[in-house]
Amino acid sequence: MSTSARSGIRWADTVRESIVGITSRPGRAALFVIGATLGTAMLTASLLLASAASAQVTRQFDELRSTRITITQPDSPTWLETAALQRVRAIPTVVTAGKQTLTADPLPLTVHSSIASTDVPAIVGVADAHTLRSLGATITKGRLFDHGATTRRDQVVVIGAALAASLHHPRPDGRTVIWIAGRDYLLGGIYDVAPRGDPDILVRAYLPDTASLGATGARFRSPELVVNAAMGHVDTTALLAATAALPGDVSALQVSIPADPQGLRSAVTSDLQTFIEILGLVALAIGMIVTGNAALTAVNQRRVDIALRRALGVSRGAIATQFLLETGICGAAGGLLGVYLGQTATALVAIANNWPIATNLTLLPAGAAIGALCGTLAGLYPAIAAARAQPAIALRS
Amino acid sequence: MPRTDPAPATVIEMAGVEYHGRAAGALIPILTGVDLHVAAGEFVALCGPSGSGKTTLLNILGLLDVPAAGHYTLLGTDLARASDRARTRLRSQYLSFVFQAFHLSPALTVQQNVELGLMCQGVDRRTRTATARSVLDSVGLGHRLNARPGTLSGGEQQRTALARALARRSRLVLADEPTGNLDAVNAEAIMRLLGRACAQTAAVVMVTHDETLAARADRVIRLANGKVAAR
Repeated sequence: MSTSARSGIRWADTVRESIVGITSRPGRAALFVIGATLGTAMLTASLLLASAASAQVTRQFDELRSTRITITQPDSPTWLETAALQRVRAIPTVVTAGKQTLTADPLPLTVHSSIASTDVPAIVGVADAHTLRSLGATITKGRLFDHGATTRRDQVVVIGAALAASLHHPRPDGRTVIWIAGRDYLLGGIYDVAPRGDPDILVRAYLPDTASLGATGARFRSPELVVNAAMGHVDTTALLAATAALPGDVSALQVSIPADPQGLRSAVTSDLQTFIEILGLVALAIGMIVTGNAALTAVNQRRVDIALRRALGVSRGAIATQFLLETGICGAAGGLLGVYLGQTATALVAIANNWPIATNLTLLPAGAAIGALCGTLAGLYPAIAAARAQPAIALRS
Repeated sequence: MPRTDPAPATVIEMAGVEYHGRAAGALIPILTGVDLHVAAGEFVALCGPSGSGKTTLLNILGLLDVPAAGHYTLLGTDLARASDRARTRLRSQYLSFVFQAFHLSPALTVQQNVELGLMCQGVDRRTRTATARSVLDSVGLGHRLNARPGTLSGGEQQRTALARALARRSRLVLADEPTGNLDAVNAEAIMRLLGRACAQTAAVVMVTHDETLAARADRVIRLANGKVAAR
């Protein structure tokens, strides 16, 4: 006859007694399970929602961040070849790419009209329509010049809205002429800048071809490669574009990428995650309290049963173990159920908000383990109370 | 479950046992200088008016309570400094109880209730099933093995409780008013079964108000005001 060291009852019989204790009182066992289910469901949902919310915050920060990359090689007027530009445009994460060449100094711009003649200095750029779109230019009056204008070397100019205001709002009506450093250009259009576009272009004028400015004696900066990257891929695209533009000497290039508010993004994400996770832990604690209360009530209701077992020679340790097993087993079942419900709820919320669904089936065993642990912890005080019960008093009833 | 160790001639040896209760912060003597000797196979009845300390004495004998003073030796083991673990082990190995309120577990069947007593002794499953069936047969409940206590009459419930005690083959059976809730016929049956327990070398100490039943014991000990008034 083998007996455990602490009492007459065998370990296997203690486990069996726990299972009988659960199955013979399904209502009370349901309360244990509900406590653990509530806690783990809320914890699971909060962890997954924190993850989904963080991804959402990251996406929104990406949306707010400019996607425009500018690459140049200082003091090298011929560094950017047409073949290089085509290689850059072939990068999958490049949305648009173009080349602009800006004058080193402002040139005088004049509009001759019947009312007045205004002379305004402005940086003048040479670029194609692709580049202007990469810079965020959106036409408000007239039209942007196209590939044909570049090919034909049309003497046209488009100007930014701020520059147009300084020039007393000339109209691109097919007759308005703008003089740049003494040469006349037909005003083709006026553009504004799109959100996340380059606001500097609002005070610039753009021509389709460099040749026409040659005679003015204007000095030019090195050409700039302007790349509009896909959202969320700015840093990678910058590296790839620089490599594609000048494969042999990437280190000679100056690459400007928009600032990433990484610190703010991390702080917001971290605060949000902490807040949601604390909510989940509070829910878990509430679930434990529910289980603990139900277990304490069970101890009170079963005090005669406990006293009888003590009288028959079951040790305090075995009594406490039986209660801990009951709350632990119910906790594990509640944990499994809670993770399942938590994942389902999270998936529904994600679908409703068009968020990425962040479910994870490997959380099921973790949920069972957490539920068992929490159930055991919640049952600790009731188990101690059961073990300390005085059998003589209960058996008198 | 066969008992192989030899039975000591003396089961209970008690001298100068005292026990105090507490009311409104003051100590109230419940047992005063109680001496008791019970031999193996002896059937002892404890009689006395309500409040005389019978149940308290039974709890001390059954190691469910600890005396404030005095000596208590059970089956040769001095319990003056015994730990709770040691007392629990002694209860498991040597003691059985029969209560007036039966104290059967309502969630278990008749057979499982009897097996519970054996399970607490660490008896393996097969042996306890066989023993429980055999003992239940002997008390006339062989046909109610799977019944729940709630469906049994009072007499059947007490016979089940007694079967639980008899199955354990204990050296000492402590019975607290075992016939208190039964009619004369069922009381007679219980007394017969307790007598059978004595025949199996167990000592029986029974608390009772019923002088007729007490008279059937080998010896009657009367308590009054926490003291042994007569033997």
